[in-house]
Amino acid sequence: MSEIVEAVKMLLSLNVIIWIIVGILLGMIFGAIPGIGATLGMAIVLPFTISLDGLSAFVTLIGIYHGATYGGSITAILINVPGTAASAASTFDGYVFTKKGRAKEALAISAVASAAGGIIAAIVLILVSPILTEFLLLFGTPENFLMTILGIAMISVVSKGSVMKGYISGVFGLMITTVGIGIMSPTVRFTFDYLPLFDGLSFLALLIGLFAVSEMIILEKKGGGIAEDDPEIKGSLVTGVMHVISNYYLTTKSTMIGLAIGAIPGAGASVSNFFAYSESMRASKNPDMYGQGSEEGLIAAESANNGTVGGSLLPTIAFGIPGSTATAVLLGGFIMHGLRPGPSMFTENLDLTFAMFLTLIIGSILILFLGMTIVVKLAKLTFVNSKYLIPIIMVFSVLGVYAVRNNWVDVFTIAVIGFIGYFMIKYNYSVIAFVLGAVLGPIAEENFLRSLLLQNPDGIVFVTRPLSIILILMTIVMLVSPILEKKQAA
Amino acid sequence: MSGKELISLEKTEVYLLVLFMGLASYFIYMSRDMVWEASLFPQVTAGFVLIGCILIIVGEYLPKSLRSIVKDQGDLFVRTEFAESDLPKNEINNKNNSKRIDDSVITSLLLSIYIILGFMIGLLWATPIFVIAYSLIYKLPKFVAIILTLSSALISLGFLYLLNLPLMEGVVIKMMSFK
Repeated sequence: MSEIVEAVKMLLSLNVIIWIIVGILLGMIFGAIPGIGATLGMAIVLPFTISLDGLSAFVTLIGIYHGATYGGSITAILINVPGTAASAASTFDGYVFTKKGRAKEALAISAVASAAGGIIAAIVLILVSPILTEFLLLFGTPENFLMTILGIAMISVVSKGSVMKGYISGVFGLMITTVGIGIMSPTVRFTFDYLPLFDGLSFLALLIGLFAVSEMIILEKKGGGIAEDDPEIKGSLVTGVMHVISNYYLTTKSTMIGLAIGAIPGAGASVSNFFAYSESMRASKNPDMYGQGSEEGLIAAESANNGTVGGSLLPTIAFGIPGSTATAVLLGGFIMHGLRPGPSMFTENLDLTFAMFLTLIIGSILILFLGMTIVVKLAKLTFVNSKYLIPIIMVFSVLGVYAVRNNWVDVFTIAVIGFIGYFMIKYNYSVIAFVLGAVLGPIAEENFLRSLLLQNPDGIVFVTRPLSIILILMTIVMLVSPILEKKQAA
Repeated sequence: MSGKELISLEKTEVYLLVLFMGLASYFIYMSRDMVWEASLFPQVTAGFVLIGCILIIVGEYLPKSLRSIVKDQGDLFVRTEFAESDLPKNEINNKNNSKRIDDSVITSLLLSIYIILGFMIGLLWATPIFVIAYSLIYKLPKFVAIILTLSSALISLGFLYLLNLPLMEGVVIKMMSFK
């Protein structure tokens, strides 16, 4: 209880509140511009958070994530183009509202449902934290290492490509973090005796290369687009609000679906909004209305995707396994500010963890306020040609990454990784698994070697502890799950 | 039998795998003389990458049960997080079809030249040059090109003065000042 009070005190500083507002606003803008989204927005802003204190940096990044998840629904509703994949299901009914002259009603539903989703998710996370703490205290260095491997395994199973491709991506990410001076010995590794490489490859450069440069190359290939129709924005905000309030059960259920799916590494809001939409249609008394302008459909999609924001924070903070690509960037932010995900986040840093969860509540209130006021103005962003943004994003990426360490290796890294990342995405090699490996590589190596050095050099420590055995078995099951599924199908 | 028929993967995917394998082999080779605390993790990870890549390349020849771990499985759910890259197109003002060289290739080349130029003469000067070149190649409206160039110059100046970054220095400028 005292940690919640501490967390509230931390958040009630003017400085922190301003950064939450900045984060939410930036997020809504990033989310509203098709092709940009939360991950890219967070990746670009990440270098600038170096000059902030830890809490301000985290609330800004979480604010961007939360705001962008909502912001994607603006274009989904007004021009039938989801600003982010998390809002894809919102187009099914949201755009119909616009065509029927009820755009404001849909925007109000979106704002209230998103806010409700964020608030409910935050409350559940706070309630669940004490139970999680007891579980996390069982983790020692062998388990911390095995969680990284399990995280890669879980991401590989849910990703589009083969399980092996996911593993290769993740382990490749682990591998390249060994460049530079060794973790447990002063050996210089794989640097070609080039001094700037002694500090290794910056994971920030890897993040920006993957999520900014690769994405801009992909966007370039797809071609920039602009909205040609000027959507008519009419309707009643109050009616929209009343729809969500009267469907409180649906809102809560969809949020919980979003929360649960968000906690699965690699799944993300692009999955949860479809699940929640399908489930609400199945349970609805008026399933025929879905796709024809159903308030229930829109409520389900919008509350689920913002519930996912909270859900994806959980594995990120508790285990260092990102629940989504956006939380992969957030994980990078944690490491950059010297914060290690894991049991300490629920023990000595519990107040900081609660502060991050409570940010979702403050952010949701802001989304509610902004969604009912300025969101109609934000609709203008749908007319921005993404081709105009690409050079600016490239400039921010280059200058931003150079600003962190003044190291030209980082700048070349974003280009090289950007090109490799483009092909990895094209051929379904899990980028999120790669990021997990790249961000957690040094920690994974340290835990691995420490387990061997302090416990037993022959590695038996990994098979003598019950929790370690469970994690190893789970990893093996993930790897062979396609084989088992095939046998079952036959 | 030609090489194309032996391997069912696309050419560029094979190049990607060869890159991974090349790096992994390099890591294994270079770590052989290191102390075990420094060599173990790179060798284990590189070994895994090497074996994994080989399994994907020879995927067609694996036993049926093993083939499923190297075969693309499609979405486990309806869409994955990376659907952010698969967004349906809006009304597109798309000139791609009339170009012989893909826009993505041109942008990649421009970015590479921007970085190399920045390394040589300083990012402060290279940044507006990059934006002007981008605007000219993609025939952006003049007004937009001017706004983007001025914005990029202001962004660079912001980084220079607020963060004190050495953006005016490049290898060429350093060499000239030594003379």
